[in-house]
Amino acid sequence: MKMWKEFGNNELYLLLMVAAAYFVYFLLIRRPDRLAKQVRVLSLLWGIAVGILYDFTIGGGRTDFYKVNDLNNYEVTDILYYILFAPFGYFFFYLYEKLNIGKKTFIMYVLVWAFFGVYFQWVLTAADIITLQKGYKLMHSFPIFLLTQTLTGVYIQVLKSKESLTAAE
Amino acid sequence: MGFVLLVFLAWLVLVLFTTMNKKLTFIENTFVYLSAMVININYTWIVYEELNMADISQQILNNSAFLIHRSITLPITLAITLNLVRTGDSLASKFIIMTVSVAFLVSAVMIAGYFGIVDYKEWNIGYEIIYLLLLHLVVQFLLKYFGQLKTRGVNEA
Repeated sequence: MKMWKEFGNNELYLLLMVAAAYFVYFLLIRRPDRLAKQVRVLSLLWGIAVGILYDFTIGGGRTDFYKVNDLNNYEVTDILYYILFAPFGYFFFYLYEKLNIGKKTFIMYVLVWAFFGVYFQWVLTAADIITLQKGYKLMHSFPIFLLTQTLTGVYIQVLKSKESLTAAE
Repeated sequence: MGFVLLVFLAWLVLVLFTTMNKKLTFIENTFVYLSAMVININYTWIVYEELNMADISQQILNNSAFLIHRSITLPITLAITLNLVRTGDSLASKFIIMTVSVAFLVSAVMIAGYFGIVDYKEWNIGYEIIYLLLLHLVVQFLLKYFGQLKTRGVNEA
């Protein structure tokens, strides 16, 4: 495990993205329509877990389809990359509730997020934060985002049937 | 054969989890699953890949069996265990439940070792037992904190 190969532009962009994402997150949780505490913590963990699951399944190990930051090894700066996923977990849960997504809007919501996921991955590759390798193309991420976002939406729907996402705190 | 056995174990814990009477809420079970998975993925990567203390088979079925155990069997087992721990009325019974859980996971690791799915170099089953015990305690602690978030919320309302 290394701290980082060299602290370059990719680490700087990553820091800026993390700062921007958490800035929006902290603005949103000050709103009265924020999610309940347990749902909030779960949505952050959900974001991190999804990022880590994919990175250590297809992004590393046997397939190794992409590298994060400068090395295929686990760098300390990679942790910044994983915590970047957390607020997006919150955004997905929050907007699902805020926009009152239901049967008629589910497909559109998931599709928009899947396209946004691919676009964001393009930004990450342009900033040299991730580098695709071994024949992996950006478009291959689309079905992955589609599946992940769909499962997340289905999960939220089941969760909503059991408890309120915006319970009074 | 190792692939078949580890997939069987994954199926077994999934069915047990689905059919059991759960004491944790839906959101708590999800929290246990996700936190156990995140910790375990980081642990296996750092100890096995970064510190080179063990080799993971690069043969496709064996590698898949490792991924299935890492991302499904272990966290679901933790979820089953922590549901059972909540039903245990004494500290001794809670400890026995955790011990059985660790023994089950160690047997899965021994199957992986026997069939060459994981090959320990500077790691051994003793370290694995310590890790699994600590993992149970850490996730239990995190769950306690997570459960308090709801209680606190109600009190503040």
